[in-house]
Amino acid sequence: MNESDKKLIEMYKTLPKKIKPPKDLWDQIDKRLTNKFSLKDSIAYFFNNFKDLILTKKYVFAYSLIGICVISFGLLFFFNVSNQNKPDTQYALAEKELQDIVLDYEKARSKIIKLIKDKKEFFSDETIVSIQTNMSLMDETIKEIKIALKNDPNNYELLASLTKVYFEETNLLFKTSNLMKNYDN
Amino acid sequence: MELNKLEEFELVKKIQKGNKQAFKTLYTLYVDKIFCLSYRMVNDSHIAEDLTQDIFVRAWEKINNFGFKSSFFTWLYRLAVNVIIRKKEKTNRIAEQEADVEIEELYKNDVAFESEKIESFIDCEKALKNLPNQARYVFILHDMEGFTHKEIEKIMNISIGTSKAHLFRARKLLKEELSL
Repeated sequence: MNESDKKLIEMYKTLPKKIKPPKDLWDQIDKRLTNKFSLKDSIAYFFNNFKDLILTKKYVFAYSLIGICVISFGLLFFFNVSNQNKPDTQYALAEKELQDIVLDYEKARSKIIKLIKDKKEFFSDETIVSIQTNMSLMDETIKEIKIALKNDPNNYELLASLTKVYFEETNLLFKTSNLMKNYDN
Repeated sequence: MELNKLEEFELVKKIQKGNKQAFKTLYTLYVDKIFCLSYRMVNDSHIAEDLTQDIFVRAWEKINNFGFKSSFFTWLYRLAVNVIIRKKEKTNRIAEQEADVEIEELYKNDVAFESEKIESFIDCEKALKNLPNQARYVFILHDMEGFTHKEIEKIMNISIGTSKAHLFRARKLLKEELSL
């Protein structure tokens, strides 16, 4: 390399190493990168970041998982309880309960009628009238509720009231029956 | 803005995970250098713009090949040279059809240049522009950018002897043009 070569190289080495492009090229590059961000890149991105997700962010990942489980169980419980409290379910249960109580009621009623009939002489007229009045009052109530239920067969509230009246009357009849027996003995 | 090697490597790691913002930071740092190289190689600002875009898109695609053995810029620069040389046939053809290069405009638009040096720079750039393509590539890579003939052999797919011959011719023509 002679002196003129060295001078030439020195001249060219002093030339700027940077020239600003006439316009900003980033927007075009960004557009091209976005278009190139295909499924393949997404998969590659997932695998590149998988280690970080599992290791670096394991606590976030774990707490998120616990959170999801708690919310899921909560929702399951809520829907289960809601399902139990649904009017249709309640109605079915009340209807079944009513059938059992009606059977008990019929038994108690027959028993007390028979007792009054058989042991009439042991009771005062006042007691007999009181028992008969109470029974007829309850029978009236039952009758009214049954009419209402006929018009609105899926009304759970009415069915529940009917069940309650039957239950109370059955209890009363059994108590009366037991009192009569004790009195008899 | 200047980054040390560690900061640069951190950005590269983010880019490898798909962080475009980190890539934009490196783009901002190096776009002027890459455009400068492209422009000198092809002598046309429009083609140089296209090439600069190609180079950065290619860098994004190939970023996982970066092995943290050299600086990011060294890696990017070599990638840029490869992209430019591979596209040289196409760029040469288009460059011949386009109007004269706006070198004065580019220099005068950049406030970083001292005005008294601009004339000297422009003379050098014009002389470079008049070189045959192969001679120009070899001169830029060898005398301006410090590549060896062995490296040029691989990049340009020519023999070492041919590379030396191109360099000899380039220097001779430039000295004549610049009256050295």
